[in-house]
Amino acid sequence: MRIFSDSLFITLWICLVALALWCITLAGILPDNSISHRGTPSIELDMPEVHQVWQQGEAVFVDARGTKYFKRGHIPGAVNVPLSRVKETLSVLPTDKDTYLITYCGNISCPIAHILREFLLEEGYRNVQVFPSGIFGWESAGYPVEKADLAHPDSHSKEQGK
Amino acid sequence: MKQVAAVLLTLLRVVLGLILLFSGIAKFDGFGTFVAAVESYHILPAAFIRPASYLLVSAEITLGIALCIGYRLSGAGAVASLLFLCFALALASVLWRQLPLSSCGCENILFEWLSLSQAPTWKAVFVDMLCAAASLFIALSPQQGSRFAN
Repeated sequence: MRIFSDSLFITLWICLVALALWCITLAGILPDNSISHRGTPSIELDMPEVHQVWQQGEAVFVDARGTKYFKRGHIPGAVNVPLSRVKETLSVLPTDKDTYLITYCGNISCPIAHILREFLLEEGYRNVQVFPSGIFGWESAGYPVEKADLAHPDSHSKEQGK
Repeated sequence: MKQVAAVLLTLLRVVLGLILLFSGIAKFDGFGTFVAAVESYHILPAAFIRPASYLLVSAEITLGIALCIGYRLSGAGAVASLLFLCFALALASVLWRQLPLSSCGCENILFEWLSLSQAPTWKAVFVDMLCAAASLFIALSPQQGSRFAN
């Protein structure tokens, strides 16, 4: 019986510590929020703003979904950095840490674009934002979708330059 | 003989405790990377990824401290055993499904000492199972080697 009561006590402690860690990160004392402070603050990018940025080629769009989904359709010129192979695929991103990066995934309920943003900030990129509506929002708004193979960081700017 | 067993048991729980504690602290330090690793397992629904990441980190830190100081050892050992078992099962499921993970998110001092790769391997599953067995041994041992034990 003792093992059960002790396990219960320990589990309660774990929950309390989890709550404390969450509060600490919310308060910005420890890493999770300091990640945000390292880069630009997170802002919600809306559709017209993102479309304008895309048209002017001001940012590199980073698709956080798996390669299979990326190939089915992505924002033209976007690069694919799937979270499952994030360290391997980082090389597709520009080496300049000041490059404006916009991460996205499926839609507003998909969290991986936010996770990728945090990861990229940890990697030293200073200007990373999330496009919350994702590829489905983009497509629903009637904007073009590319269904080709893996794109390169420069391809979008080259297309824009034509 | 009993004293030797108590010393060995104390050593075992302190080593396991330190592994968990440092692993938890390292994960919290690079929390974004850890959340990404949890997501990449494709086990949990999206809404649970962040809460689960907090729980895993806090479990490692709490259990690490409990094992090191000898607080409620039967419970700490049992929960640590469950935690290591969960890690082993998660890794095994990734290997079974052949997911192309470059990092298992399970880097810790034990894995570094054993020179285990960052990618999930069956060796890592075995190490986690071994840690689960050691934790269970601490939980079930009548002589837990702690002044808090009785």
